[in-house]
Amino acid sequence: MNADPKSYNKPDRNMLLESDVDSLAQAVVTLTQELWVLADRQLVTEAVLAKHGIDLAEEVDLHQPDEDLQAKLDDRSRAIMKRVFNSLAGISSDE
Amino acid sequence: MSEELHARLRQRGRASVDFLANMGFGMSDMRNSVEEEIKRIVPDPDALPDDLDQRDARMQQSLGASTAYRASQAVGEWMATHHGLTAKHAFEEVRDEIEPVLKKFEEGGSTVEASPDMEAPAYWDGVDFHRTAGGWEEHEYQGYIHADIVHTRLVAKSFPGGIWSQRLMVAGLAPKDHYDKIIDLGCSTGHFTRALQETYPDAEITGVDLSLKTIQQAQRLGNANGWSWKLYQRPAEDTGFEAESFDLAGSYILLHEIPAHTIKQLFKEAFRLLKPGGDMIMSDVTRYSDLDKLAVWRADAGAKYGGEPHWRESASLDLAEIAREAGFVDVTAQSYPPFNYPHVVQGRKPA
Ligand SMILES: C[S@@+](CC[C@H](N)C(=O)[O-])C[C@H]1O[C@@H](n2cnc3c(N)ncnc32)[C@H](O)[C@@H]1O
Repeated sequence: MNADPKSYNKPDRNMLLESDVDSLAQAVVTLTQELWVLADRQLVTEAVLAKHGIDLAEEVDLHQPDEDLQAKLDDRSRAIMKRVFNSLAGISSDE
Repeated sequence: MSEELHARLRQRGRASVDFLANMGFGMSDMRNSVEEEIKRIVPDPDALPDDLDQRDARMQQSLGASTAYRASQAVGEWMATHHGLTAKHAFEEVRDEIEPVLKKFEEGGSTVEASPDMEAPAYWDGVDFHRTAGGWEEHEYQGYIHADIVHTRLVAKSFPGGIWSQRLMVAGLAPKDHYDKIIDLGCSTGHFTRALQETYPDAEITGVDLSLKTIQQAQRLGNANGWSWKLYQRPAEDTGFEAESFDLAGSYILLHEIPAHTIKQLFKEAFRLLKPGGDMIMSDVTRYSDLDKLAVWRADAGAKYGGEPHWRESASLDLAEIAREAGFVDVTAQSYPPFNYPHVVQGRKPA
């Protein structure tokens, strides 16, 4: 038998090194952007759905936000960024 | 930008571009935290090293201990490497719709003369200015992507002072009310060319730029507005035009993209091109001499990480002196508040 089977519970494994954190940060921001694209899409979908009562993917794609929606989108994107960036920067946030 | 030329982005591209446009706001807490740190480590900017490399080494060493600084650098790096890609992807989503419009505006009174055999200068060739992926020439529609997406949707949203009004302001500074023939040096996609044309509606305008893709976009802008610009892919410091063929020679933020010796050549070329009594107006980024040591460090670091290899030597030059050496008289140099931007040098070729 393996002398220490419990060592398999948390195997020692070569994972990220300190020198990898820059790439990690790049990936995190990419992920933030991806997330934002989804969140944005959802909001636009809601706006379009509210108008028509049905899901129109093409309409969502072509939808050019009016001023009100754009302001809402801007606020939401900034809030998401702040949460991610602030945690990356070690800034505590009470959100 | 004419409405027809302004792409209606699809949701994915639009939201990705909006994300970038909002990043400055999203980074505000992080930036404020870095500012606090800078205040703490630099109580007196005058005490920073004179040598710019040493100054940067000192700042990097001190700020390197701040998580917020390192994180802001990492996010800044992402912006630098992703703005061009995001803009390109947004364009590709609408390419089928916008391409016929772009082709349509390649016809008209505005013309482009390409120089396929031109040997691109080493200070420009292969440099990804602004770290735009692939530089100015990589994509067939790079000029359009840069003008409509990067400039109009990103830079214009947050640029202090507003990128269009600053150009109009500078165009209006030229001393005469009327110019017959104007040359715009480093005209790129035609933002300043447009300001010149709107300010001097009857003027016949020639533009030169090393980048073919950008002047193709200037051509579309010209044609969409019914203007007849003559655009040439040529170096501004050696245009090949006849001496004494223009009444006004101008440039807008070209100088920080070229090295010092080329800037000197450029002023001489502008002098040669002007008719006696003709006017010169060149605008560029804030002079290092107008900034304190800390602000210079910020500008210099911005250039270093922002794909601006010639900024330091260019922003360190006394442009008025260079203008006088080239032969200009009544030379003035002024930096505009509140950011000392742009810095505008004017002069006249003696009659
Ligand atoms: C920042 S852009 C100029 C912007 C433009 N004047 C405007 O108002 O938006 C700089 C341009 O200068 C061009 N350039 C750089 N060196 C040049 C040179 N030696 N001769 C002509 N154009 C040059 C680049 O290709 C680029 O398009």
